[in-house]
Amino acid sequence: MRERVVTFGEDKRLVGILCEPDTDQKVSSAPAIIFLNSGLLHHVGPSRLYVELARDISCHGFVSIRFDLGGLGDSLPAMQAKPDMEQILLDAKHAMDEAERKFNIKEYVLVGLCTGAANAHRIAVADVRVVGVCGLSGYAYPTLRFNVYRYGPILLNRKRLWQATVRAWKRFVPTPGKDAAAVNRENTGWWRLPPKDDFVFECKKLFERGVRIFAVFTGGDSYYLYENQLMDTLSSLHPGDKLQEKYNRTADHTYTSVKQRKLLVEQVRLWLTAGFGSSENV
Amino acid sequence: MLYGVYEEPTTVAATDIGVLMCYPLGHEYMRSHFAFRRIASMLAKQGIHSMRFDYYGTGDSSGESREMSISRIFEDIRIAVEEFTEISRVTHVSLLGLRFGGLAAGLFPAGKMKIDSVILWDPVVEGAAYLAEMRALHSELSNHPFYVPRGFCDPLEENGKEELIGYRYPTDFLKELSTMSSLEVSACSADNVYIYGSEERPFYQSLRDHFQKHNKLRDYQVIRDAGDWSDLLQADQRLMPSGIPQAILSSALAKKEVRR
Repeated sequence: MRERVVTFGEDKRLVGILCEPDTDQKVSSAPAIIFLNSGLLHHVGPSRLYVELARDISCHGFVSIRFDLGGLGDSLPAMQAKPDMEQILLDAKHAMDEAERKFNIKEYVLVGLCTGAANAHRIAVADVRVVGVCGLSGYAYPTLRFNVYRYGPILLNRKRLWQATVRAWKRFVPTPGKDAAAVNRENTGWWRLPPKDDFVFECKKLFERGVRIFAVFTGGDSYYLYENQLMDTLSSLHPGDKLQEKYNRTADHTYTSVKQRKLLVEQVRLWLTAGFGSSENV
Repeated sequence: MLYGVYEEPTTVAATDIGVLMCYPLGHEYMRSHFAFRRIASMLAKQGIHSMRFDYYGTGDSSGESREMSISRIFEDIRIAVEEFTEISRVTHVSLLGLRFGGLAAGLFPAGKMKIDSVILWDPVVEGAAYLAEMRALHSELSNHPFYVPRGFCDPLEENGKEELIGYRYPTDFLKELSTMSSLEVSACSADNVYIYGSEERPFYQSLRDHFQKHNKLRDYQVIRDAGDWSDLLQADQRLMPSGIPQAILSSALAKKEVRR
């Protein structure tokens, strides 16, 4: 395995680490793996997850770049910055162009956690070179089964029902000294799901292109309560083996536990090798 | 292989001063990455060179945390100082250390290397107390419903290693860390020491008194600022200090001469 620092993009403002396997281990047809920032964290990922992943998959023949979007980590913002998503798409394009320049690879798998997963989805929709998306705690939507799991225990317990009602009242009703705008701001987290119909439509386009999706969720993701919840949302698309899910129930959102992180690395590696490298089953 | 980022001055009036930044460990490293980058940018605007680097087993450097040792960390600092002075050609080098980085910077055995000053930001003063703090935080995290939503997560068993907030360290490393103290009489090869704390702590006062007694203290300030190192809810929050970076900048400028 060999790692080297690369700078690319306009004025070489983007900084990343290229990780490449030893020559005899390289899988020539494999796509390059691009790791996307998780929230405001720099390119090593939460608890160094991306470093561990990159080094692990390099032993199985995959080239990767972990880099910082403009303004994050070690990368500089663009001099003439575009609107957020447009700039992210451009920065990701630079990363993919760099991988193509260095290794003559023209297909990519995007890996991201949380906002990284959201960005991976957006970039995959926009760029036909993306053949795979590994979204860690990405988009997911309530289903009937989710609502039963989520609200059933509350509805069946009078005390919990009362407590939930009081909480909902406090959350949504303006109180003296707090205007409606402030209430709304409190209720609006930084994580916003796109409309479900838009997401389903975009996934349809991705599956039609042959893009493979690996969606992994944790017990720390309150909006996901059972394995295959996303499959239920996308069932009308009949994705088959193009969509795989894993529910790491005892993991927290950023895989703080070393044990959980090792498990995740193995899951991602198995999915990559099954879909894009030598065959092993996930 | 060690990873580092060198930032050269962005002003025409470059100085011959350099600041080498020593990161904290573990989750505190993740918290402080942006803060160090911001300070580097502030220094660059004042003509000061800087470099921040990852110890072996951390960040983008080779190795894993389970391979770390104190002697290796000191060797990493030595290599970083050599690399930094070679790239930048500075003649005055200061070490800036945050938390564990402060302990390492303060105790770094410079030998024949000339370290002008040491800037200690919320430094770990007693290794044993720091370790106790980390263990308490790890215990709190292991039992907090947000972090372990559906049950306790058993740590991976591995002889001779202990897991602390997402990283596994050799027990020998932690044992040695627990014996370290910034109050060691013969420690700190620099003649100028600056101490900045984000809150008033008896440890910082002891450190202040220690360096005052040895006529090395040049500045001591407690500036209420981002930190809260023992607060679990801050453990994954980006550090966004406002006052302390200004104080650090002032201490770095103390030796300013414009390079001709």
